[in-house]
Amino acid sequence: MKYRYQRPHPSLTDYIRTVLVLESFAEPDAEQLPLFTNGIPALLCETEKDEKENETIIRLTLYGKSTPEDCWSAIGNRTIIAYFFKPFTVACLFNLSAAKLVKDPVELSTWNPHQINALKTQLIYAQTTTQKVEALDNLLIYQLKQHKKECEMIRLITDEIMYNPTTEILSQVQEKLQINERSFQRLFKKYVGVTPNQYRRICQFQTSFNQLREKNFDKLTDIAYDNGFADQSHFIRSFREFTHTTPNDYLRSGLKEKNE
Amino acid sequence: MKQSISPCLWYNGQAQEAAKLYCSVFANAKITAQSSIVTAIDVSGQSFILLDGGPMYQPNPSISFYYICETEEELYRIWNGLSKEGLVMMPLDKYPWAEKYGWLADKFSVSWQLAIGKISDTGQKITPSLLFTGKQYGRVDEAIANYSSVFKNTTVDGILRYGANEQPDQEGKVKHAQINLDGNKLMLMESAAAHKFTFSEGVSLTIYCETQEQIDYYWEKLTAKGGQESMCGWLKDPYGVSWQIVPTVLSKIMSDPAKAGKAAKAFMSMRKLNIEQIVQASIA
Repeated sequence: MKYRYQRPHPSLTDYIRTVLVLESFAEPDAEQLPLFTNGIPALLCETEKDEKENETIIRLTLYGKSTPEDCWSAIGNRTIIAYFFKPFTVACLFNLSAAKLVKDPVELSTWNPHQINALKTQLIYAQTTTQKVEALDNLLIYQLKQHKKECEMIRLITDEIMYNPTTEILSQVQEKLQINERSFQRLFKKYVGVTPNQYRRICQFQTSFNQLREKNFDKLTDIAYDNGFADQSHFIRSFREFTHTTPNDYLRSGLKEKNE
Repeated sequence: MKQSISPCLWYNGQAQEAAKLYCSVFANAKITAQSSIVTAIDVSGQSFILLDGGPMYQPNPSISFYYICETEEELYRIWNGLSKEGLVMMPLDKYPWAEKYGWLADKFSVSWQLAIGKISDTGQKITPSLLFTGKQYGRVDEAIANYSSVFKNTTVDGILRYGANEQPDQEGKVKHAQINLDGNKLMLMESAAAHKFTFSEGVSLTIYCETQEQIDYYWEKLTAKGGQESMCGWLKDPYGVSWQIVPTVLSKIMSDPAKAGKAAKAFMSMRKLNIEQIVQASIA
């Protein structure tokens, strides 16, 4: 088995973490598979050469959550090319709703059949794996060109909120982007899957939780204020909502088991 | 020279199997080109494109093919061949318009109307037949006028209208019309009955163009008045009928393994096809 990770095409680096290429399998060797696929959205392209050297497309699928294990048990003369996306990019690139992507994998031939027929033709006639990667790059670059505005907005919004998840951030971002409230809410909900405020609260909890875990504070109110909570009781309420325990209980005995 | 128009049928991985079936049942049928996505066949001078386009679309009776058999033997042979695992919609019988006629969908859901008749009556052995249903009901007259303005040398060969007692159809609506679009026969019908299908990409019509001017012309004319552009040379006209506006040279390019992928790369991001760019890309 041969596999390699390769850097994405330069114009895709903001959207793609890495590209994994698995090829020329003598026999399946699942234990060696170098994978970290859990929770990472991916575009998977699997092709196979028959005895007459004819190429067929086995799979051309977008996975919104994570790629099922059995996709990696490649056999025979198959080549797998997998694009792993950065967070909050795939829905926007393909103009799909995040909710739909998380629910079920999307067969690309049901997403835009005419374009995908053209892509399949390129994959079938590609002489090398590199040419296949080029064909897939081209589709993604084209998609990015079509949806650049939305893609960049989502990237900027999710980053800004993550670095500074205070209540004021939402209106600040909105102002910065010159986008009205309704479009802002709709765009975010469609491509990220939750409302901006839900996302902000998750980020806020996450950073406060990290601070608590790293014991990087003198008293709990420090954490509350450092992370933009109005006061300590807001912090505790948020903490309880996400963990079903309080900061003090957590410090004493860790997270509760779900079944308690 | 007549304008060349070929029907394109959409399959989900069964185009080659379908091509084999058609070549075994139809008279004078042969496979003319084959790749893993596209198979082309010729049936008595009418070419069909069989496209393995995936699960998104499938043929339905909104566009069927009226096939004239000159002998009962031919009719039975085709009927028996196509009805296997297919669906009979109108059983073989005597009808007012033919001594023997039947309508079926084959196992790939492509619709065929088989009739005893004389080819000299229509001049064409196989004629695409458009059935306007649902929202498109009542638009055949408009469509005939529109197509007449798009295609040169269009003639209306005949229009038969519904009478007063043919409910649910309204008196005066088009029961059956036959037109000739620059050398290509086309039938149009409308039906008020509750049909679950309407025009789709499952069956489309491909117009082959020699020049970019022709491509521009058909693209603009057919997308006007409420039509819609799609990707890779596909469009929908105002009635939802799918057309592909394709350079003639593309068939040749796509059957050359050294060129097909490069050409596909070029047209993957095109709406209306650009001959020059596709040809240049294919030899790059």
